[in-house]
Amino acid sequence: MLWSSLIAVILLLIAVYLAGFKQTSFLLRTALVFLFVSVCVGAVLWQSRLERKAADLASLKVPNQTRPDGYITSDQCRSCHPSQYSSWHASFHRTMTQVPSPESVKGDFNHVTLKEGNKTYHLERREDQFLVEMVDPNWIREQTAKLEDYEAGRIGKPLPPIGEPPRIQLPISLLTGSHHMQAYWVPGKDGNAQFDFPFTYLFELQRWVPRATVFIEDPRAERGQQVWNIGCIDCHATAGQPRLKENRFYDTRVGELGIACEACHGPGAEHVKANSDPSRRLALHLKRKGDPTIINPARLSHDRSSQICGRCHSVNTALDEAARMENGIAFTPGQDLRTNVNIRTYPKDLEMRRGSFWNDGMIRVSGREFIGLAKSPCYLRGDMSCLSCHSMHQSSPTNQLAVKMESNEACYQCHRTFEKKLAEHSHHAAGSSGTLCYNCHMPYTTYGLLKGLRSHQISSPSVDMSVETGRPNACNACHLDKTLQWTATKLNDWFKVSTKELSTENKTLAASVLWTLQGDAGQRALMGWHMGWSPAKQISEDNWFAPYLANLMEDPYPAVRLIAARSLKRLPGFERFDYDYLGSPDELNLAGRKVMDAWAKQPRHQEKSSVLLDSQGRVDVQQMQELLKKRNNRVMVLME
Amino acid sequence: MKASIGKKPSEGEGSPSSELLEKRHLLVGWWSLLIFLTLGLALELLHGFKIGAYLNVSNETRRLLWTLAHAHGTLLGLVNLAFCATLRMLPDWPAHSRKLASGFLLSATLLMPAGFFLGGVRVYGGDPGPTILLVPAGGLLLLVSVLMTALRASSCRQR
Repeated sequence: MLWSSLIAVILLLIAVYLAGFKQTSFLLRTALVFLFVSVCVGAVLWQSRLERKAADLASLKVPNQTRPDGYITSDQCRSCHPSQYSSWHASFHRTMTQVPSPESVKGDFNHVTLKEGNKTYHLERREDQFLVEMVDPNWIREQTAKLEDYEAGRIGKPLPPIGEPPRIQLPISLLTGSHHMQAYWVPGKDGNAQFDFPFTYLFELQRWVPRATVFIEDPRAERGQQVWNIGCIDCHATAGQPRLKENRFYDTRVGELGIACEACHGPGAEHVKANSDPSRRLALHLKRKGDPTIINPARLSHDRSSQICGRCHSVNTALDEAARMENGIAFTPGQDLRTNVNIRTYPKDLEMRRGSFWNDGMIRVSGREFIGLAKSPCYLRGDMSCLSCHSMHQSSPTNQLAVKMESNEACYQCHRTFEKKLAEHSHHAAGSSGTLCYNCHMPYTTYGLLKGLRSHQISSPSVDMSVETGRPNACNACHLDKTLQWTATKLNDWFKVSTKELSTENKTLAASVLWTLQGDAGQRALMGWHMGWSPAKQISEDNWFAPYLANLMEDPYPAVRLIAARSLKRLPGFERFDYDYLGSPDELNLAGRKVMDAWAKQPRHQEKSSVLLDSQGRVDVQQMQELLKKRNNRVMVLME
Repeated sequence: MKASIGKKPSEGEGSPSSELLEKRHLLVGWWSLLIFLTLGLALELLHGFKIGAYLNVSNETRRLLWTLAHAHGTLLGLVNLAFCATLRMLPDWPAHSRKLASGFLLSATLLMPAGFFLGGVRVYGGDPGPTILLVPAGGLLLLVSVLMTALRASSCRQR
C-alpha cells in the first residue's frame, strides 16, 4: 500500500512538472498546486473511509469463510463457469445466509421500535450498518448457561438476576433468507457466535413479526435463544463447521455462507488447480467427458445425485454429534449420505415424528423433500431423482423447476402413454386442473413457509389414508365441498379402489369442513391455504369459505390466522378486509364477527348441507360449535 | 501570418520547440503503445492460466481497473501520435498554448493508466485503492489539452 502511494505521489509530481509548472503563469501554478493537494487530501480521506468500512465488517465477527481442506468458495468458479455462476447467483440458495449490506437487508431499519411482551427492540441504520438496541444476548446466554449447568448438576441453583437486564446496541451480523422472509443475527462476544434477533421481516406483509409467529409452534411456549453456529450452519452454509470450544466459545468456519457451488459439487481446490493449465482444459473440452476432479450431480446415479439435495432436504441427524460440533457433517457430494447421517424416514422419536410426519410416515413439512422422493415408487423402482424435475442452472429461482417441468411433461418423461388418454385416465375434462398429474399425485399436503406445498412422495388419492392419517387426499383438497364418501364412490367407480366403511360425519360433511374445524394446527393451516388455491376456489364455489376462514382467523396459532386471512382477501368482497393476525384475542374475535356479518350481507347463498349451509343459505353455527368441541388441540411444532 | 492545414512549416514557424514536442509525443506515443499492449498480453496470460488474483469475483474491481489501465494507456498512446501529427498540421499554434496542451496531454498519459493500474493493486470489495484519484486529475488535464487542441484546429479551419 505504502509503495503504491509513493509511486502515485512521484507520478503526480512528474505530471505537475510536465504540465508546465516551471514556466507558466501564477494562476496556472496555483491551479496545479490545487490539483496536487486535492488528489493527496482526497486519497487520505478515501483511505480512511475504506479502513472504516473494513473495521465495521470485522466487528461483525461472522463465521470465517475459509476452510483449509480444499474449499475455495464460489469466488473462483465464475471465471470458467460464468453462466452457471450467474444462475446460482440469482438463486435463493445463494442468499440463504448473507452478511448485511444495503442490497441484502430487506427489513425496515428506519428508527423502528418493536415490542414483544415486555421486551423492546430499537432498530436503526447508520450508513451501511444495521443496528439493533436490545437486551444483551450475551447476558441471556449466560443466564441460560447457568440454568443448563444447574440442570446438569455442575453448579448449585443460580440466584435470579438482580435489576434490569443490561441493554446493548449491536450491529446485525448475518441474515437468513431472501424469498419469503428474512431473519437476522447479532454477534456474541464468545468467538464468532451469532445470536438470533427474535423478529422476522415478512415480505408479504412488509412488516416485522415475532419469529415464532411465522412457524407452526406452540403459541404459549416462549422461544429460547437460537445460536446460528449450531442450529442453522449445517444447511444454511456450505460445509459449515461449528467448532464449539470450551466455555461456549465458537471458532466457527464455513466453506461459504449460503448454499454455494461446493455444496453440490464438492470441494473445488483440486479442480481449480488442475484446470489452471490451459492445455488440460483444451483436452477436456475435446474429449467431451466429465472432469474427474469435481463432482457433477447430473452424472451421478439417481440416488447419489438426490442424496446431495437430501443432505439438507431431509430429516437427518449426525451419526456422531460430537464430531459434527467440531467439524460439521463430513458428507461431500458423491458419497453415500447414509455413511454420514441417519436419514430419518420415520423416526422412533415421537416428537420428531409428530413434528415432521403424517402418521403413515409421509413427510408433512417443507424442506424435507428427499424423504418423500425416497419413498416414491418412481424413485424406488425407477430412476427418478431431484434432477428429473429440478434444475439448479436452467430454471426460475422461485421453484427451480427445469424447463417444461411445471407441466405434465415432467411425468411424461417416463409415462408417455398417458399423454393420449389423459382425460380418460383422470376422468377430468382435457385441459382442466384435474388433468395435471401433479394435482392428483403430488397434492399440497406438505406445510411450510406459511403455505401448502406439493408432497414429494408420489402417491394416488386414497380415502382410507385420509381417514387414518388426517392427510387431505388430492380429490378433497380440490373439491372442498365434497365428502369423503363422495370421493370413495368416485375412486371405486373410476379405479376400482375400495374404501372401508366411513363414519356418518364422513358421509355427510365435506372433508374440508371436518379438517378445518377438527383438524390439528397443521391440517387447519393446509385447509386455510387450500381455500385460497385457485383450482379449489373455482371447482368448490368459494362463496361458503368465509365462515370457515373467519373461524381460522381466530385460531390459537398465528401462522394459521395469517394463512386464513390471506385466503379471505382472495374472496369477493373481502379484498380490503382490515385484519391484523397479531391482534389481541378481542380484536381477533371482532374481526371474525365482522367477516360473518359481511358474509351474511352477501347475496343469498344456496343450500349446501355438506358445508353446513341450511335452506336459507345460513351457516349452521351450532353444528360448527359442536364440531369444534372435537378439535384436535394437541400442541403442534412443525419442524419445517 | 496565414495558417493552413497541411501546409509544410516554413522557416520560423517550425520552431525547435515544436520539433522537440513532436519528437516527444512520437516517443511517448509509441512507447505507450508498447507498454500497454504488453500489459494487455499479460492480462490475457492471467486469463489463460486462470489466475485468481485477477479473475476471482472478489477481484472483479481489480480486473476492471487493470483492463481500463490497458485500454486507456493504449488509447492515450494513439492520442499522443495523433497530437504529434496535429502539431505538424498547426504550425502557427502559439508556442505557449502549444506547450501547455502538450504538457497536459503528457501528464494525462502518465496519470490515467497509472491511476487505474495502481488503484487496482489493492482493492477493498467493490472500491479501488486511493491512488485511483490520479485518474480524475489526469482526466481533467486530458480534457483541457483536447479542448485547446480542438479550439486551435477550429480556428485554423475557419481561417
